[in-house]
Amino acid sequence: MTYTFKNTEINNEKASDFETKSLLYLVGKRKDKKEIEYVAFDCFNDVSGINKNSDKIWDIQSKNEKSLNPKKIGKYFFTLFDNYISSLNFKEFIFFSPILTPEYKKDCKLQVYNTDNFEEKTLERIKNGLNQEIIRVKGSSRNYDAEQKEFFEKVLIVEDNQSEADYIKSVTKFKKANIKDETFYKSVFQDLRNIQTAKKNSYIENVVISQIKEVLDFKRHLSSKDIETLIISRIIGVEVFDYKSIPLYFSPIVDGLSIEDKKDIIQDCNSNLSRAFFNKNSNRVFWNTCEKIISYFDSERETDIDIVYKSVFSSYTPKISYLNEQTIKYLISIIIEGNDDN
Amino acid sequence: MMIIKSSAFGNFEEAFIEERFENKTNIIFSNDNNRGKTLLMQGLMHSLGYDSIFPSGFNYKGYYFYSKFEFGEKEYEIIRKGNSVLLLESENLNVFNSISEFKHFFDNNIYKLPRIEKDGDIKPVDLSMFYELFFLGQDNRNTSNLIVKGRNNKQDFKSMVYSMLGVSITSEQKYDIEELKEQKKAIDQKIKTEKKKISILKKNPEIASFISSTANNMDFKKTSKQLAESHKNIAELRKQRNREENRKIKLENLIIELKSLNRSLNEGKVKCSNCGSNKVIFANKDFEFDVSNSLVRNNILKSIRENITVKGEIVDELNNEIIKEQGLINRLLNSTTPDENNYILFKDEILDSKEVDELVATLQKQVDDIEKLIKNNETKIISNKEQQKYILDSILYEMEKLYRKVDLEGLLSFEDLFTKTGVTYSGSEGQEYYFCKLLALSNFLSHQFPIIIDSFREGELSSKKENLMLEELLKLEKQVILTSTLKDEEYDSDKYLKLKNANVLDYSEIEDSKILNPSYVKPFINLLERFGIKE
Repeated sequence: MTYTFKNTEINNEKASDFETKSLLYLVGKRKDKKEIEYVAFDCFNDVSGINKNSDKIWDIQSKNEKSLNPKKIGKYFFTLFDNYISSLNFKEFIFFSPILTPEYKKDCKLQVYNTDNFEEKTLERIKNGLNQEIIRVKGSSRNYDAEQKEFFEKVLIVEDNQSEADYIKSVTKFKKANIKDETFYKSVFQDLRNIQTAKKNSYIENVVISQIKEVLDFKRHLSSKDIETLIISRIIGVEVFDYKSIPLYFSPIVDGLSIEDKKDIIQDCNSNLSRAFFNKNSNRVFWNTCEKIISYFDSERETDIDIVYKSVFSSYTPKISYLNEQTIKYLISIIIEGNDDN
Repeated sequence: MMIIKSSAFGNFEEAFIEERFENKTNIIFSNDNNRGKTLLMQGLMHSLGYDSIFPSGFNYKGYYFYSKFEFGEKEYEIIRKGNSVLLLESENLNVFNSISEFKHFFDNNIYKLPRIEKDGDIKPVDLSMFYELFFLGQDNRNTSNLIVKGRNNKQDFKSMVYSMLGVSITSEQKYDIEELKEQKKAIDQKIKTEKKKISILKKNPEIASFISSTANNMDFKKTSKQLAESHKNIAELRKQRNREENRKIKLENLIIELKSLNRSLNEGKVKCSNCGSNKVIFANKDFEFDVSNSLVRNNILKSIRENITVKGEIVDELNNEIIKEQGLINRLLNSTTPDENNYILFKDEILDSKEVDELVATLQKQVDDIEKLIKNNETKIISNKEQQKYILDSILYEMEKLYRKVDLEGLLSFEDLFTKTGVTYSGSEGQEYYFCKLLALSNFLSHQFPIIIDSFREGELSSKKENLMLEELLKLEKQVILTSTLKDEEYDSDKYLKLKNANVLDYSEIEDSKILNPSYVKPFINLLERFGIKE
C-alpha cells in the first residue's frame, strides 16, 4: 500500500491567500478542529489536516476562481476523488471555493453543504466534469461509477465568505478587546501565508510513502499548536506597553509593595517582553517559552502564577537575562487573562 | 453625547447619592444656602478629572467621588479619590494613578480631545480646561481668565476652541519663554528669602534665643506640625516625580536599545555558488518562527513613545502638586506672627550676612541673564489668523445674539472670549456673560457635552432675566444641569415646579451642611465594591 505524490505545485512560489484561508478553516472553523494536530501543504492536496495518530486525513482542494462552472467544479473534484480511492485513510473531502452562483444551489443561504444541495441539473454537469477528468487521467479501461457514487455522498463544499481577521480570530479563544485594527490581523495572515509558501519550497514530486505519518518527514506541515502560538504571541506583542493596569493574576506577586515599586516592576516586565519581541537572537527561546505556557493551558485551569511557573519551568534557568522568572510570570498572567472566558 | 446619569460622593462613614438626573434640563434648587449643591456639582466634575474648587473646610482627599455617564453607546462609571481614578466600562476595570493617565485613556477611548501646542509639542488639552467649555462652578469666577488655570492660560483656551474646528496654531520660539519665566520667578523668590534673612540678622542678631521663648505657644506648635506635614508631602511628591522621571528616561533608553536589537542579522546576501543567483530557495530543514513581525514591533515602539509622553505629563502634574503644597506652606507662614515665622524659617540656619550678600549678588546676575533671554526671544507664530478671527467673531456674534435675548437694555459688548485682564464683570453681569459664553460655545461648536452651571442665579440675577435664560436652555437638545438658591417668596410660589420639560430636584429638605449622611453609606459601599474597593 503506497501513495505517490503527484500534481504538487512545484512552481507555485506563493501560496495564495486562499490556501491560507483553507488552513485557518481547518484549525479554526471546524467543529472537530481539536482532533487536527498537523496541517500539511501541497502534499496530498492543497491543504490537508492530519490527526495525532496520523491515521486520518482532512483533505482540502481550494480553488479561488471567480466563475466556477459546474464542469470545472467536477474537474477540480478529481484530486479529492483520487485521494478517495487511494489506500490511505482520508476522513473528509472538502472543496474550498468562493461563494458559488446561487442558481446552482437549492438552498442558496447555505455556505457549508453536501452535493445534495446542488440543483439536479448542476449536479449532473459536475458529475460529467469529474468523469471526463477521470477518463483523461486514468483512461477508460476501468469503470469508476460505483466509487464516484459513494464519493459524491462524502464531498463537503465550503464557501469562503469571511475576512482574514475572522479566520484568525477563530483559531484561538485568546482575546484582547483592544485590538480594533484590521491591519493587525492582515499582517498575521500574511505571516502565515509566507510560512506556508516557505514550507512548499521542497521537491517531492513522485516520492512514494506507505504511511500517513511519513509525510511529516518532508517538513511541509505546521502543527496547529504552532499556528495558535504564532497568533497569540502576535496579539501579546502588539499590546505590550498597552496594558494599563496590573494583570489580575500577577497582583499576588507584587502585593505588599508600594505603588511606585509596582509601577517599576510592570514597566520592567513590559520592557523585557519588548526586548524578547525585538531580539532575533533569542527568538527560539522566547518562542518555546510561549508555546510551553500555551500548551499548559490546553488542559489546565490553574490561575496561581507560582504553581504554573513551577510546573512549566521547574528546571528553567534563565539563559537570557531579560527572560527572567518575573517576566515569565508576567507573561503567564497575560496569557491567563487572555484566556479568561468573559 | 455625554449624558450624566448619576453622581455620588462619600466614604465609609457618610455619603450622598444623586441618581435622578435625566437627559433634559435638570434644576437642583433649595430655599437656602449650604444644602450641598456645590459639593455635588464640584464632586461630579472632580470624578471626571476636573481640578475642582471645593468649599473651604471640606477635606476632599478623604472622600471617594463617583459618577456614571453615557457616551456614544457606552456607559462608564468612575471612582476618583485623590488623583487615583478607577473606571468601569462593560465590566472592564481600568486603573489610573494620575489624572494624566486617565486623560490619555479618555482621549483614546472615550472622546478625542482637541490638540493644542504646549511647550513646543502638540498635546491633547488638559481635562480641567476642556471642561470649562461647558462647566461653570460657583467660586473663583473671573471673566478675564480661566477659573482653574493649572498649566493653561486663556490663549490656550482659545487655541482649544480653534482646534475643535480644525484650525490649529503652532508657534516656534527660540527659547521656551514659559520655562524662562518660571526660572526667573524661582530665582526672584530665592533672592527675596535671602534678603529677608539679612534684614532679620542685621536687626536682631539674637533672634534665635528671642524666639525660643515663644516656642511653647500652642498655636505655634500646631502650625509647626502642619508645616512638617506639608514638607513631608512635598518630599513624597518629589520622590514620586523623580521615580516617574526615572521611568521616562528608562523608556527613552529602551527605544534606543530595541532599535539596535532589531538590526537585521541577515546582513550580506546569500548567493548560489554555482550560478551566482541570489534567489536561493529556503531548504526548510530547520524552520524557525518569528515571534514578532514589523507591525508588532512598530506598535511596541509607538506604545513606548506614548508612555513617554504620558510620563512627561505626570511629571508636570506632580510638579503642579508640589507648587500647590508650597503655596499652602506660604499661606501658613503668612498666618503666623512674624516672630514665629522667622523662627520657623531660620531655626536650622545660622547665617553670616556677608555670605548671604554674595549669594544674592550671584542670583541677581542670573536673573539679569534670564531677562535678557526673554527680551531677545523671537516668536514666530504660524497660524491661520483669518480663520481664527472668523471663528472668534462668529462665537462673539452668537454671544451678542443671546445677550440681546435675555437683556434688551444691557450695556455689555463682547470683544473677546475673556475680558481684559483686570476687567471683571461681577454680579448679574458676570452671570449673563458666562451664560452667553457657554451657550454660544455649545451652539457654535455643537460639542457633545452637557451644560453644567452651579449657582445659576449668582449675583442677584433678576427673575425676568432668569426666566428668559431658562427658556433658552430648555430649547437646547441636550442635557443641562443647573443649581439655584431661591429667595423665600419665590420658593413658596413653586417657581420651578411649574416649568414644563424640566426635571426639578428640591434639596430644601436637606439639613444645613448635612448633605453627607450615614443613610447613604450602605448603597455607596455597594457602589465602591463594584470597583473592588473595600474598607
